[in-house]
Amino acid sequence: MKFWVVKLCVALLLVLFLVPACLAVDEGQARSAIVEADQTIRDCYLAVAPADKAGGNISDMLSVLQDAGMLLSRADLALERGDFDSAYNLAVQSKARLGGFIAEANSVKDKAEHSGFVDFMINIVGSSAGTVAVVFGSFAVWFWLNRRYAKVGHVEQDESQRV
Amino acid sequence: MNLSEYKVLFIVVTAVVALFVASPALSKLLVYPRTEFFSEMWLLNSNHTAEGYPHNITRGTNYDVFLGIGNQLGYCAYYVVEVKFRNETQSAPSSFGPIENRTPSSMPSLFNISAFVADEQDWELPVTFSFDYGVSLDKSSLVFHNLTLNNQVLSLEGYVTARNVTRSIFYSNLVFELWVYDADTTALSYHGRFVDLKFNMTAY
Repeated sequence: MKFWVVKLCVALLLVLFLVPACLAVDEGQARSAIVEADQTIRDCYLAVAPADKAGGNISDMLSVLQDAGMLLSRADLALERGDFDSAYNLAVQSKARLGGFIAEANSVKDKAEHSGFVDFMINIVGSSAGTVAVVFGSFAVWFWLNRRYAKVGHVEQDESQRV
Repeated sequence: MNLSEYKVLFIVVTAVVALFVASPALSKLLVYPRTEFFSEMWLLNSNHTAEGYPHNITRGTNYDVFLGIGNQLGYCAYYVVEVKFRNETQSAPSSFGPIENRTPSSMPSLFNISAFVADEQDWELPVTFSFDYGVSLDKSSLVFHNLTLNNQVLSLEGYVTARNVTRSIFYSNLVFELWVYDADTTALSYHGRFVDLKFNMTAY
């Protein structure tokens, strides 16, 4: 009975010492997590830049990117200090912060391009066509009025000659 | 009724209506194109003014400044501000001449601050910093321990500044260098701009 308790205690101690050691992150893992997070930030930036160019509202997305960048900087700092656990966790948090970011950036870009097209059709095409219509319409009205008053003028002249 | 008397009035009314209808298109088309593309970088004191910057530094005291970037590059930019620390004999960055000829300080970056700034937008960050350092036994130099910048403790192990013999002060320099991400080369490159704070590190 006593021997069984000793074996159990030894086993528990082994578990207590070995499990954290197995779960601990080494430098390589931390470094690769940082490289991955860095690449994700670059990919997200490359996705959001065209959305800005298309005229989309990206201010919220940029603040998310900003947060991810700050987490990555802290991960770099932790790596330099040799705190691989923190470095790994911060890099993973940085990457997780950007989940679904590229899809959202593409959606903002598509919406901005669509509204840009509508804006172009109304403000450039519509306005130009309207201007041409006003000018030609005015000429048409002017010629119609000229013709009409010219006839009325002839009739009035004829009547005055008769009198 | 003689219609030709109204000809001028008719032309004027037509021109005014045509201009009114054309105004949305004209407002888009008659915009002077941007010809200069650049980035701005600034450092302001805690009151948001360009004066009274922290200069005489005391160990363990917090100092506040604002670091800002303005993007006029014509596209959304990914900037990285590299925070560096140097004494007066160590490598300083340059910001004169053509950008491609400007060089960053060769000192290692203590901390990188990422800034994503949309075109024609500004970005600003409040920066709080303090130093921990001690005086050498012969009192001829300061030995730095760390710099705390926005609650991040940055090691300054190995950083030393000697007393400036002519001015009799311990001179040091906190530098914020601007780097920008180039999508073509997929790398960060020095953007030829920096702002810095020059300190007299008081020996107490």
